[in-house]
Amino acid sequence: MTSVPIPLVVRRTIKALPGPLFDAFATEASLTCWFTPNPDITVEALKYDFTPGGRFRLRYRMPDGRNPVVAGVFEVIDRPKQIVMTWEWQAPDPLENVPMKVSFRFLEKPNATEIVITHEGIPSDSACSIHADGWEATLSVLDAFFNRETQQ
Amino acid sequence: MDRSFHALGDGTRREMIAMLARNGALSANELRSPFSVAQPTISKHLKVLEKAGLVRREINGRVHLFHLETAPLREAEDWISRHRTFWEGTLQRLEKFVNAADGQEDKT
Repeated sequence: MTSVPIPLVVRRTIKALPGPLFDAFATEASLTCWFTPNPDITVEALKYDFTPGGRFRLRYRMPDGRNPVVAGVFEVIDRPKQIVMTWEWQAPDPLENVPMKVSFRFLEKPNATEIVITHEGIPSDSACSIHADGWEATLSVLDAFFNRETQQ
Repeated sequence: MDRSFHALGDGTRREMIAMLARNGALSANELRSPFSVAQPTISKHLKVLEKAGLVRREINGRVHLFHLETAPLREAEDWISRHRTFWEGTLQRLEKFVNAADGQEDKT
């Protein structure tokens, strides 16, 4: 029986070599050009030490005036294959002080790279592990349920 | 939230949740029917779900009916969807950034 921690996996295939994609993380100047979910949100690095064991602290500026801060430590920096970092939203935040972990894997494909982001949300406690398939399936059932509820 | 994740960390319990989502309130017997396990095992699972606040027990004479409580599930779901949106958007921005950098190199 294989269990994995509560997973969120996001994948995207990008037409670029792993090296340049990896290097987009490598400096504060390059990272802050793109490391936000949309162009209306900007990010600034309060601290960015891209070395194994190095710390980062990023502040996002949202259009609604909120400025969430996330901080963590780079656990693995393996150019151009993998980056692993701890990830913790700072107070005040609904997810404050929840230790999370984010890994980026760069898989070389013909003329492209598949980036796989795995975001683990629960400390590595085996009691809190869950089957990825079951989790996704449960969520789709719940999604249908919530949508039905909203329509009523 | 840890408690609801723990409660959901079991296939039988997830299926019970899905059954309640599809059918509304069910008795312990109805919840047991798809599984080849003894009633005490089902009772144990129900207690875990109750403790996590995912399920509410309604006692009606000798019949115990179980209802789904959606708030903790929404919290878990919000967590997933909040970060999914975050990373999907960020990867799109990375793609644009890398492609733009390529374009600039071509020009020089």
